[in-house]
Amino acid sequence: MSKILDATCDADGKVTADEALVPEATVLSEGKQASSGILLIDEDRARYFPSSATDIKTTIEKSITALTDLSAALTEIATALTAIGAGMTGPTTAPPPTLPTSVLTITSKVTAIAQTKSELEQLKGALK
Amino acid sequence: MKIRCLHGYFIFEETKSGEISSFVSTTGLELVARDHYYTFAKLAAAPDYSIKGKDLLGIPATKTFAGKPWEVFAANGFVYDFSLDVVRPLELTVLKTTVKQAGKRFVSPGLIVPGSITVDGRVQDFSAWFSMERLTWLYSEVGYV
Repeated sequence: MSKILDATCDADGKVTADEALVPEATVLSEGKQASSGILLIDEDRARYFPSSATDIKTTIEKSITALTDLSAALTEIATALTAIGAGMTGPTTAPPPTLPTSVLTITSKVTAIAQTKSELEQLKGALK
Repeated sequence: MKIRCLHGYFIFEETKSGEISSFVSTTGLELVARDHYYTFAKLAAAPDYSIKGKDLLGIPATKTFAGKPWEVFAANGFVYDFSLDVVRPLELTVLKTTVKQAGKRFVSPGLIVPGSITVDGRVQDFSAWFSMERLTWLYSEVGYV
């Protein structure tokens, strides 16, 4: 017969449940930051399980920020290359090179990143 | 009335319907219902887990443990003394009693307080019944530590 209690764990790995310290509890996580979760006591074995929802939410938020920065940087690069191409001139016998098609690829990647970002936003909102 | 003392935790079960009221009025023991059995009022609140250092029916638990109330008692080494209405470590019981064999059963002057000292050791568990006709406590099994 086992018992499940609401519990917390501090950054030192000390588990508290039912307003009491449970020093013998095994922390089943990295346990390097404070967390809330559950304490499972099964006979004389006590194990602490942190809720991973907070960690996942933070990871998603950081990913969204990184994608936003990456998208902005790629847009600036594509814009700069387009401007450079537009400014290039030359005689009919030696025309300027056409803008590389890779600039269009950069633009399409920005669109793909925006789609991924949107999906991550939805995932964050759907965290249980 | 069938009586079991499991690691110092008491379970009373009727063998005939309505037996509990006459048992209570005859013995003076106050019992309350818990799950499918009766027990002492203090034991009705016995939790199914303990956390070392946290209060367990009046004294700090010695073990972090989850199980049936009597398993929690066993893990912590506690027994219930109904004569004083306290839970305490088994080895702190200072009462003495006698348990004598009488044919296939055992007799004792009254309901044994768990942890009581006998010539065979301290009583930890027993199965018993109370004879309403003869007003005697009869024991079918007695376990010692």
